[in-house]
Amino acid sequence: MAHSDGIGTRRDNSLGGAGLRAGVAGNAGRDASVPEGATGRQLLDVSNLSTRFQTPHGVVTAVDGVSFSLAAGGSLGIVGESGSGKSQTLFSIMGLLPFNAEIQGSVRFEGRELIDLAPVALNKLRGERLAMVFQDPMTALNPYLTVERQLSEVLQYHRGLSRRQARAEALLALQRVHMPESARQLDRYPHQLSGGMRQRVVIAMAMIGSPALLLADEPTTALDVTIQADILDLLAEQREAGTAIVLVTHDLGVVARLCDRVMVMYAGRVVEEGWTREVFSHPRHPYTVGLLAAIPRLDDDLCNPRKPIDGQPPDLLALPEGCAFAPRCFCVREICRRKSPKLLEHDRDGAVACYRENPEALPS
Amino acid sequence: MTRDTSWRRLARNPMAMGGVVVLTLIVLLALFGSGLSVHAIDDVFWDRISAPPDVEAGFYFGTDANGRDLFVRTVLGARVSLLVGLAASLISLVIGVAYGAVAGFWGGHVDSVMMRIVDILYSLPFVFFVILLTVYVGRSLSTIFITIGAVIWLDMARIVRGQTLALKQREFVEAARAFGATNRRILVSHIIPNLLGPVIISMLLVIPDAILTESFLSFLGLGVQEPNTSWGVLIGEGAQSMTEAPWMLLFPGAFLAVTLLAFNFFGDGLRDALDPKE
Repeated sequence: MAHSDGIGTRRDNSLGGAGLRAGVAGNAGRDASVPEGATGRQLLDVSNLSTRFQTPHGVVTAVDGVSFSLAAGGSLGIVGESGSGKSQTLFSIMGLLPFNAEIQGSVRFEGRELIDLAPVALNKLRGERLAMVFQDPMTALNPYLTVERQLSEVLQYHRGLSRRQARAEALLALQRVHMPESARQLDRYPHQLSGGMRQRVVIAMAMIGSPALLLADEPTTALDVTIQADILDLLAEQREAGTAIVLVTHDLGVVARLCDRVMVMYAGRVVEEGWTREVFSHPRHPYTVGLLAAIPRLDDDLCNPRKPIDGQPPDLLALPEGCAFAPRCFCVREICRRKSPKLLEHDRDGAVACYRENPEALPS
Repeated sequence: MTRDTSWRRLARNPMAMGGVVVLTLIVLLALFGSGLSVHAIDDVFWDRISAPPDVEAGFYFGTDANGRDLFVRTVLGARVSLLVGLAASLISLVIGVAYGAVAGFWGGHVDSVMMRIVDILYSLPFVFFVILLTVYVGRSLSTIFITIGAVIWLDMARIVRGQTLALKQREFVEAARAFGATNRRILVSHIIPNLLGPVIISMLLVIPDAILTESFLSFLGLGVQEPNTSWGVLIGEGAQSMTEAPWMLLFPGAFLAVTLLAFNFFGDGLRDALDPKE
């Protein structure tokens, strides 16, 4: 792969609960542990990112000390169950959080800190350098605007193009996403398009400013299986053209197809990270093992269906002490229920947060 | 491009076009209709008090309790009523929509303060408010516009605010934000176009409300002064002598009803034409 040295999780950050509380107050902790030169080469550098929501029932920590980095042109898949914090990680990067959210840590994009960036500067980056593809193309498009208007809106935010220029650009953008009969679609409304075509429009909107980084929040979940493959090919094409991609999904097949690296999240934390091939062939965290075992296969024995992971995802308002996965884990130890394991590097260029894999992390 | 197709859709809607034709006729009648009458608005015929319609003598709609021709009074009364209705709907369109959209979109403290102001204006006793205005502005037609204008947009502001609160949660607003849209841009390009349906409906509901409020104000002695008149005034007078002279209620009432119906047909057609899903 061309992106061989593209992505790496920084393993020097403590991801344990105690470590997080000590280190999130600003960038001080990060700067001490990461040499400035190392971060300069990365396109996106997320460090100790925590996102909390004030709810009437208490504080929910949706993202808990997540760190990763991505080089230009790299691709990273974030997987996990619903509520694992994978989508909120993306929204935190984009600065699209509701008012009751509190964000801590650091998100550096092209060398600039995005957290606490002034809205004007952030609006300049969004859509130009940094773009997002949404989960449901049925709702991500304004029902009152034609396809042309949807696309030229994005151009008008950033460049003062004339109507005619904007239309020409919009047509080009549609052609780049292989929209059938592109010229005819310009004057149509979203409800006149199929789901796959709408998602092409959303991707065209995201790509129209040639961003350096594309964040995709479950871009194929709302689509038919046959359309999914087309959309994945389209995203792969953007990646080949040099756009870095962060893809959030719960579909491991999508990650296998599109991403060099994969990050598994559980209850807001990263539990495993590594090269996609390595993680899928040798999963180390019991949760990753469970996720992979739950995928149905063609040669499944129909009399012995696959076992899903026992239990329910944890209640973020009442996280267990220690490892959040401990109540569902098939190899849980006594220590797991008391102390959360740190995310530690292993010899295959990945990292895992589990005492089974990292016995040296056990407190003596 | 899209505007063209909207107009085409409107032109193809027979109900809406019927509404446009009727409204045009009524406006033309209001402007030039007095020429069709052989009598003037203040001609008093002592021998024809509360007389039924008599086409040969030129009293097409009969006469009122003072012996004046009802036809010319209905036609001229349309001027004030149409003007009041139009002004009221424009005020609620411009002020109500802008106010409600801003409050709903910004939310938080801005919303609280803005909506409390609306609540205060709502709870002001209307008659007291009118008397106060009369003292300061004096009795004239403009008092009517100011009075109606001050309160008529409140409903619209509330409706628009509620809709905006719901709309700003929609994913396409978030998407626009993710593509770098500023707040102003989101409001203008994404929120307001999606408000059109409820806005057009409440704009139409405001018209009869304003026309009837005007008649109430005229009854209090504000606004239209004799011998000038309005539909609201004529209907009020007609209602008093409904049993002995039903034509006095029938003709101005029918004009008001037909006008409102035409406005509604037109408004429905307009809403459908602007909604791409129709």
